[in-house]
Amino acid sequence: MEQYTYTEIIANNPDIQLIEAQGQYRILLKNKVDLYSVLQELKEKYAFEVLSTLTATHENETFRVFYSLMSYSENTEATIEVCVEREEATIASVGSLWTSALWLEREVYDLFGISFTNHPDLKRILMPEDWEGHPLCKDYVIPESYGEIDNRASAITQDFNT
Amino acid sequence: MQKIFDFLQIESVGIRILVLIIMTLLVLLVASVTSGITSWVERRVAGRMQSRIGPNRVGPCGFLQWIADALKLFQKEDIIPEGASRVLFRLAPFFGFLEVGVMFSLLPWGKPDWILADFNIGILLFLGFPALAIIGELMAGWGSNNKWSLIGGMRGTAQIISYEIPAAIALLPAILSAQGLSFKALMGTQSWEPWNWFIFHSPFAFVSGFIFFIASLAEANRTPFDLTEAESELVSGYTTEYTGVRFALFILAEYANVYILSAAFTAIFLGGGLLPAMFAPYPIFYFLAFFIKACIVLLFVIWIRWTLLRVRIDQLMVFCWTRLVPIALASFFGEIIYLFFVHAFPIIQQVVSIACFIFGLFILYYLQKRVRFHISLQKLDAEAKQYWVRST
Amino acid sequence: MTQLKTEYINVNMGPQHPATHGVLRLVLQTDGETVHECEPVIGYLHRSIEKIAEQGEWQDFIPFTDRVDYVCAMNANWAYCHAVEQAANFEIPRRAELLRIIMGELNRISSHCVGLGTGILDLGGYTPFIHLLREREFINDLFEELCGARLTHNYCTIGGVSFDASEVWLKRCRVFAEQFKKIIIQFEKFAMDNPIVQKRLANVGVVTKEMAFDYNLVGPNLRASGVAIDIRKQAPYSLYSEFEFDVPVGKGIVGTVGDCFDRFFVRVQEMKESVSLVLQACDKIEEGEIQSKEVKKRIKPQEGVYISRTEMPRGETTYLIQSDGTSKPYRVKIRTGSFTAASALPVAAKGMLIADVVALISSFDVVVPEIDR
Repeated sequence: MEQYTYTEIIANNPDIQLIEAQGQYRILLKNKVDLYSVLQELKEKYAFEVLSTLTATHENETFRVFYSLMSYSENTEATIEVCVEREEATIASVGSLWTSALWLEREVYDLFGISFTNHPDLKRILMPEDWEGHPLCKDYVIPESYGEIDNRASAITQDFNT
Repeated sequence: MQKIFDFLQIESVGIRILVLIIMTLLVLLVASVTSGITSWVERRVAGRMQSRIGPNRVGPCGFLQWIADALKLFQKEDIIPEGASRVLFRLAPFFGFLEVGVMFSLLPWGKPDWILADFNIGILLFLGFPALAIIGELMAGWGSNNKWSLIGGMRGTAQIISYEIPAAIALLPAILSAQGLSFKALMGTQSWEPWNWFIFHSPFAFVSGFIFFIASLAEANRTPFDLTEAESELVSGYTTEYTGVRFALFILAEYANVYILSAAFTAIFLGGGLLPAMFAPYPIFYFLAFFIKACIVLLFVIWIRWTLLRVRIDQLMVFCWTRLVPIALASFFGEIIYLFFVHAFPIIQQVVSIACFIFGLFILYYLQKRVRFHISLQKLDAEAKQYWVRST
Repeated sequence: MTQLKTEYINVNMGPQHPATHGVLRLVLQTDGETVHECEPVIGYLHRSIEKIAEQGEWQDFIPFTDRVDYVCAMNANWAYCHAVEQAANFEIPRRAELLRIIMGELNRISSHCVGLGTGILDLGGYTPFIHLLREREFINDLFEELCGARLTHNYCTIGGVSFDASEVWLKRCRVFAEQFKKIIIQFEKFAMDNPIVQKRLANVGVVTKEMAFDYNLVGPNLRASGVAIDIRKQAPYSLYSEFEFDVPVGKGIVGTVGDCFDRFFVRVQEMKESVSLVLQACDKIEEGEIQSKEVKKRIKPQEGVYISRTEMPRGETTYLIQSDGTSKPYRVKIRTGSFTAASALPVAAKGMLIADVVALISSFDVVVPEIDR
């Protein structure tokens, strides 16, 4: 599969930066570039029919959200990166472009706490409904108990010793 | 029963009632033992068809496995779900068991008059009593307070009620040519030679024989029609919430039903336990002839179960009402016309019987060719065998 | 005539159910037997594998990838090792690559045996399931002889494989592959040409091409809808560009393109292709190293974010790896084929009977540890 070169998209918008890593190209949308319109353009004009992955990572006070697109007809793949501040972590949802984004965005919300606007059903998907906290953040503290289940290290080792 | 009373020369009512109770218990005992042996045969045959052995620890060739299973089920705790209906849940297993007991007393066991309860409308009762099983299934499905059981019970009810019709219509040719409704009359038209069996009596009888077989499979909830207890869809269907003795009764009823259907098919279509006159002084051979034929049909039923898949409920109903019923009716009318011809020219009967018998032999020939093809695909050549990791 | 007011029943095809292939919960709203709405609830098997990846080192994560999809553990190990090797730019010795291909394709066969077998089992065919499991036992014996484990192999390492295969093992592999060709024929005649199977699976759960793209269905689910996409052909990794194999596509033989029967059919054809790949790899294999010399004890890929794709039996699996230059992963994200298939269940299951929902789940070959990680 070839790497998409984004030449036209970068030419139109100075806020989009091209990053290269081990032969893989991706674009980073800075400042206030409209994520939804860029992805819409990629889907409709450049025939990226499939959203392959949508994930996030947590670095200091920002979340980096990655979108990986694939085009089967042109045999190319593309990656788009967006940075979101930790305080008001909201991003436009791309569920109306690709329905596969709905579950992926729910997972990102569940594990990181990023809210997606216009998402029809944004609730936790992997963790239980009443879980507190967003586990994959780097400053997540593993809770000492959940309901009646005691999770303290001392309690667990005690059970093994007796 | 009257024969037994005369044989033992019992006059007083009290002892007669005692004898009745003992006979009832004996019938239920025979039903249970037959059900257990059928389950053993099924598990061994299923094992061999699946390249494995089947039960082989408990008793010789695992023959006592069913006793062990029955004892295990008896000693289990009797769990009744909290929301289950108090009367229906407890009462449901007994209807199936009751039906099995009644059918066992209606079945022949060799010679035409070796029936425990010999009514001259035997076939009619035989077709009517599976309705007791329906009641049991519905009560179990509804009374379990479980949606999956309810779905299973509803499916089962629809299935058994629908398939009683083709079963009854398929028996009409047999009843016509026997001119009577008792098993004795039905076995009276046949004789021991295979081409005089009722199934080869005419092409219409051939077709209705198969229709009766398929409809009985559906009535006994056997694959391909076992969607009421489809384990992977309904987690055991209407028997989901049952444990212990209650569950044992359901399973017993199911396996005993399998024997009943093979025995009925043998008696009506395969000539029952009729033998040439030279076996007259040895009554045991009549029983053996009947039993061996019934066992062969039983093996077919088991074979079908482990080969074919389940049909869906709507496909099942469509199959019954748009395929089986019209064909059964058509073969019934065909049989009427055929009997007119036979009445006019009796010689046709022998010719047609032998022709149908030869046709049946052809079908058996093609069946065994296909079976041998499948078995031959499993063979390893000699060179490969030495590198095989485990011996097959 | 006025419509009768009927209510929908909420049936829970709960976490414990023989048909849901694991702890997948489907909340069905049915009108009698017809499904009106279906909502999958996942997370019952969430073991926070992605968080665990951040606690240990790069090579410590490989046993965990076994558990992401235990039915095809070799492929799962390979997917992760391939991702890290791509990020750190390691060269893998040729013998290791060929061994990985042999293991991967054998595991693809055994995974499809399980998927097809349980699919037919859910429809009521007990015997083909046991026959396929018997064949899988031979594969398990081969794996056990090689790496000591039948299910969770932990075989690939970053830079190669962990155990070498002897000549006798390769010979056994060849014997198995030849024998398995006959078994596939028997399975096709037994289970695929079976009229009841065809009636149960034809025209059930039709997934069109647009729906497959929209929901990002991958692997055999996508190929059954008529799209000939296979990562081993589109973006060849390892030595797949040297091999000759076809990509089977659903043709709507009985029923429409993209129904349940096509998904089963594609998997059966894929097993045939895997057998030919195993035989080709056994022919190509030569003596050599099995572990790359340039891989140090502590692996430190360059800082950055990398994406890699491999074709696992359940579809294309994407690994997104972020490294911060240390020997511990910063972020590992696994997007598996079963995740997308489970997300497509609600729309595919509308309007079918409950019995068809069971056939649908098993035709998507959903394995729950892949969904929940």
